[in-house]
Amino acid sequence: MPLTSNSNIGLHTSMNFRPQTVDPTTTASQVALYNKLDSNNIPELFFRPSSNQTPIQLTYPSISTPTGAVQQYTFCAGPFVIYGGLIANATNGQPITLTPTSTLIYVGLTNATSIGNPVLVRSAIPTNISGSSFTISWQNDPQATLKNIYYLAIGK
Amino acid sequence: MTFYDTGVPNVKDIFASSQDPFLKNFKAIYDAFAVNHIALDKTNAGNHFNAQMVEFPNDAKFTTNVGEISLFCKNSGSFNNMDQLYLQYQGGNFFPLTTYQIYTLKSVPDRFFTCLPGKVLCYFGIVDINFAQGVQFLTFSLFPKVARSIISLNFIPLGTSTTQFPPLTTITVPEGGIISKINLFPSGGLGSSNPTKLGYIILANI
Repeated sequence: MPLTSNSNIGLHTSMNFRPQTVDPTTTASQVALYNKLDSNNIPELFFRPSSNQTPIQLTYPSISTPTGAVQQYTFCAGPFVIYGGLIANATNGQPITLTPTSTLIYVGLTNATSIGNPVLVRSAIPTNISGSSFTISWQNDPQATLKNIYYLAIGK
Repeated sequence: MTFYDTGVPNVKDIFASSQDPFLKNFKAIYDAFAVNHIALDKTNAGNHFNAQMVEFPNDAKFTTNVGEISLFCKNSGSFNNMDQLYLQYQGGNFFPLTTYQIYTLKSVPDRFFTCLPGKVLCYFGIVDINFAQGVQFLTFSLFPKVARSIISLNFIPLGTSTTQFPPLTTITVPEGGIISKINLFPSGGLGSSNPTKLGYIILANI
């Protein structure tokens, strides 16, 4: 806030971080929040704990969370990309490639389609996990060749 | 707080007679800098104690140049008019980084939620279920009731039985644009007299 303001002088209206080429040093009683370019020259926010401990990247270069979209992704510190969505009318053996590209370290599938009476919800299993791709798989199921499958995946 | 006088210095000032306003202006700068920062006359001058952020006007914009990244505080509007922390990428695209402490969770043990960037809420925890005889489905209520769209969900039995299957899930029709309930239908091994615990995780747009 400007020096001539009637109130809140000295407080911040926004914080614009210029890129740092090296991680700032931190003493035992300091932490640091700063901008460093990632390997693709994209600015990212980093946090460095006290005593020069290992910095961690807090942000990811992009995000896509439009309400209602069937495939979305967000992120958390690491950074990890968190993918979520619904594959409608999936087939057994259907390959899925998530974007943006990452290396998947977790994939969970939920079958939202049931068969039989009594109801039996067969598990769908991610197989062939490689890069940001996996295959939707389930046991032979002659009564339902198409399934709606929710996925939740985490990539690094 | 000493207030800064933009009329000082003046080209016609005689230093001997304008020392006082000069000193007052330096004091104003010192005082302003000391807000959120270690003061100019202290060790580590310039470091931040904290970064208090004043709400950025909703219709205002600022520039984040190539190579830069920015944080600011804005009234989030739909979130009960509360201020949240926003992240702005180089080029100007911005989104809410936090949606925290807006809602309260009912005092139900083992049920939690957290927020992810981009107005995403993550519900997770453990819930007890029991499909008693004749019960066709159970209703799982989302707290807080703020979900506008379900991105993904997973319910998985946590019991010791290897014959339990996940329940069938259906999302109820939104009421007032808000999805607050998910119906759980019994599946193999989850029928009557088989109470169990379900672990769950749900991602939702809010």
